[in-house]
Amino acid sequence: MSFTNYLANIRNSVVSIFEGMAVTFSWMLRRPHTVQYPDKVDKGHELIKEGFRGILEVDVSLCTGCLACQRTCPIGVILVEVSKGTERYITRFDIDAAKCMYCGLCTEACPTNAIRHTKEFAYSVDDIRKLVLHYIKEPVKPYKPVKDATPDNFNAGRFVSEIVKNREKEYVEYEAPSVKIPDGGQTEKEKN
Amino acid sequence: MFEISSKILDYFGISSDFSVIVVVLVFFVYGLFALTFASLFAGITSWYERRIAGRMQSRIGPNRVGYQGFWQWLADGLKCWFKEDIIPKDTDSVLFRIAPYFVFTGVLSTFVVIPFSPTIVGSDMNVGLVYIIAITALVVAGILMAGWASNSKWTLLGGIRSAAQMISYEIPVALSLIVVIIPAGTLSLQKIIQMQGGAPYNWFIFHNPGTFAAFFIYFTSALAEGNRTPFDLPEAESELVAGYNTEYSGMRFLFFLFAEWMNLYVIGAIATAVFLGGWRIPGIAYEVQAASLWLQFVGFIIFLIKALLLVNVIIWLRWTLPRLRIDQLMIMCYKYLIPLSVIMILLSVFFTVIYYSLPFLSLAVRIVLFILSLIVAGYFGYRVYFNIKYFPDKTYLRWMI
Amino acid sequence: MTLEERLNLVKRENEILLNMGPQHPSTHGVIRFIVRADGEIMVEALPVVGYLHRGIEKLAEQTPYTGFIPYTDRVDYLAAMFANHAYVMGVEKLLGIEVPKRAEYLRVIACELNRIASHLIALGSMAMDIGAFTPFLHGIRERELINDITEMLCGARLTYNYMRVGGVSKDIDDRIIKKINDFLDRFLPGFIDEFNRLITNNEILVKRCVNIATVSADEAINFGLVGPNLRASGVKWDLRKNMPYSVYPELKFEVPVGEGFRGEVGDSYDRFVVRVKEMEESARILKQAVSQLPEGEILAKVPKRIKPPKGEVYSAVESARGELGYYIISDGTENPYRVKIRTGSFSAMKAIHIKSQGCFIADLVVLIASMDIVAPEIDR
Ligand code: SF4
Ligand code: SF4
Repeated sequence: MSFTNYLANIRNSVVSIFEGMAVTFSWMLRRPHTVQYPDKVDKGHELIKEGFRGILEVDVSLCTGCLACQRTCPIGVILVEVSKGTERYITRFDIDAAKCMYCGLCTEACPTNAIRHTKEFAYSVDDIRKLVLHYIKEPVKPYKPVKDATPDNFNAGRFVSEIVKNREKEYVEYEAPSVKIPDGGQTEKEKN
Repeated sequence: MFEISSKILDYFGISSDFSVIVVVLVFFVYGLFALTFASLFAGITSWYERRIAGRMQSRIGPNRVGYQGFWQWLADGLKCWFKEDIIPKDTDSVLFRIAPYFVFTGVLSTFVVIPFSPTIVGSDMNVGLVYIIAITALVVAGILMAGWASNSKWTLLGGIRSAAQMISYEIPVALSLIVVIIPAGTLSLQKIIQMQGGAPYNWFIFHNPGTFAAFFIYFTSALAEGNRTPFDLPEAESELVAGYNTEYSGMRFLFFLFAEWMNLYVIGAIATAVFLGGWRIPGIAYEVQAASLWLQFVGFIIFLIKALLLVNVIIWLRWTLPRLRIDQLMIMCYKYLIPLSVIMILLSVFFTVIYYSLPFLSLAVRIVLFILSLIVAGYFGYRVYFNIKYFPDKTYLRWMI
Repeated sequence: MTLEERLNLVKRENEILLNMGPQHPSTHGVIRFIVRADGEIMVEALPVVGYLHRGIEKLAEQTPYTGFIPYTDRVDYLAAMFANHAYVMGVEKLLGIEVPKRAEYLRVIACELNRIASHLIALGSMAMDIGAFTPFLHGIRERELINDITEMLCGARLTYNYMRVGGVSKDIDDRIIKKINDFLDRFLPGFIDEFNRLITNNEILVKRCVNIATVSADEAINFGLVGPNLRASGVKWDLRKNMPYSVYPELKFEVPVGEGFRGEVGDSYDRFVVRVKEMEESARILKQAVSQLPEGEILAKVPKRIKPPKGEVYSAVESARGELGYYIISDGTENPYRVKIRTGSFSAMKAIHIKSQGCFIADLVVLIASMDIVAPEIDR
């Protein structure tokens, strides 16, 4: 190591440390980028962007019972049961939110926008079984698609907010609603 | 402390038969004061450092416990206190248990000679600086013990690294202090402070070019001796998990951290006392200051401000710089710092001798050096301004968020 | 005989066996190294892979073609766009689909944003492994802005699932374009220069990285290194230029190669600087792509059920970690017959093994970080 090299080493160290310290000091004079979630979020600070793929919700009144979502889901977390017979009823619509990876493939497959993402992302519960979300309380008639209908200006999060609200409740075993079939057919459940 | 004891004896008219008791009591009180001061300092710094680091990294930092998170340090301390003290199987359990106290004691013992004001000092030893260098060797022993007794390879590596590092860096620390001892002519910290003036250009750092460089050499090697970044190899978290304290938990772990943060103050205080004029107030003679209680208090505040400024710089360096490698650390010690400090000793001798015959040169050199450092500080301010202008983020001068 | 026992056989006197990982602060995920060290100096660091093996390739055989796209996100979580891109390109080749121009541009925009984000993490974590914490968080801060953009673009911040066979899933709008432009304005001169002042030119970092684990051009090719690791060794090989795909031929950009910026060609510092320069180039590509964005469809006409004809295809893109290849065999059914993923991190592991010999333990950390290893990419 030559002597000039020796001096250059000292000079480089001093200069680069000096510059680095100027950079870090300049950041002391700036506003932090982080926010105090959840208690000090500024007004108008958009936490979740439009189009965020959060927890799924189903507007059962729009569901046609076509099972497209169930077939598309790569990991099979959607369970839709439709009763057989002349008059079809949707008797079960479950989504296992614990397994769902929010890929959004089901929402793209759905013809009526019945299944869609909300902006909800914080919904921790104390019992993992509560994360199986049941969207059907009583059998519903499938939606008849209208031709050239534009999707409703739906209010995403309507259903999920209820679920999030109820998460403190005790877990109760879910019973799929059975259907009274007018023409004497059987529900899936009765068959088993 | 002896003067204070004798004053108390006189004041209450106690016969000298009881002087031993009074002296012991006074020392005990002073010891408690030093311990409280050091612990409070360590605790508050642990919070302060995280806040500063947060701002530098455009985060907020701890702000949940109390006003702006001020009581975070207490919460952390309590948490560590209540945690289970795990002593892993197959450790050398006696060494494992006592190692943290060695480290803690090693750092705390330096408070014996670190002055707070002209009379408030544990013991104004005439070999104060030597005492400091000697007593901090206890830290090495403690860390090596911790590293060995944990019976883990990572801790052992950390312990060996720190032993090598701290023993090596004691040399430049001592040599750079000698640079000041030459013009001062004494080893006692109080006498060294006494010999400096209150005004900045009368400080020993501006005494001659040798001491000016010695200040930086001392600062660097003290950082290395105290295991601070960029020299925190013994606890390099990305290499050695957590170095010598990997296996520790609970209160014993806290003692290591305590020692580390107390050491910040020790570094700052010694540099302040030796290079930056200590508790001297500009324009007030030593005798006047020593006689008045109020002026002593002002001196204490001045001392604290200077030391805390240096602590700030240490924290700031930590969050700016990467870490050296072990061989580079040794190269830096033996190839750069030691030869440079020897040169500075020679320079210092040269200037000290010259000043005897040419007193006006002394003032000229001091003022030139002072102005030079002002220019550097000004340039630094410009660079900060440049950085702020260069990046589109707005400035925001409120410290609390 | 287990690995440990075998290692104990070759162990010489004075050596210690250190187990680094799978849980270790600087192994970037669950990678394990068995380090044979003589004090601070390593004899070798033997990588042990497989701690993050999830059988993604096998899963592909049970999943329909579209359903596998979300899985590709998980191959390389820091640069998921590229995995999407390589896979859908392969399926498109099998089907013989022409992708609309606008979709191609959107893919390029998404990929380059992702490249910047990935390199920010790579550089930041390398600086952090060397001991500087602040550059990492400054990198994270900028990456957060990119995450915001991708969140608006495709709805997710990490596992994008943005691309579809035949195009992309969502269109871009003016708000997103404005956000991208805002980001580029602060990124190109501002952030890069500040980052260089803060860490790239820092003498300690330079001294830590220079001449550490130098990989010469020949060696790099023999190890099978790809991407920035290969280019840092001075080999000008970039799939975007050498095997053009998508709309890269229409965009102007340079391919930065290692020139021995402070030491030998192909040392750890070159790998660092090459990544910094690549971020600049990506920002330039983004500027052009955003301004040239054509109008049109974003999804080609694709049958609802994707059933490619019998055949096999290899499609590769230049990911943030180099050539990322998907080899897909179709047997004419709805599921692929076999999918093989070729990733850069896996070959880099071998290079780490060879290059670690004779280094300091502290250098191993630099070496791992400079190769930009991502654990799921090794094991898949
Ligand atoms: S978002 Fe993906 S994983 Fe979740 S239910 Fe829909 S298709 Fe299945
Ligand atoms: S949610 Fe949509 S896709 Fe699923 S069954 Fe109902 S209509 Fe079909």
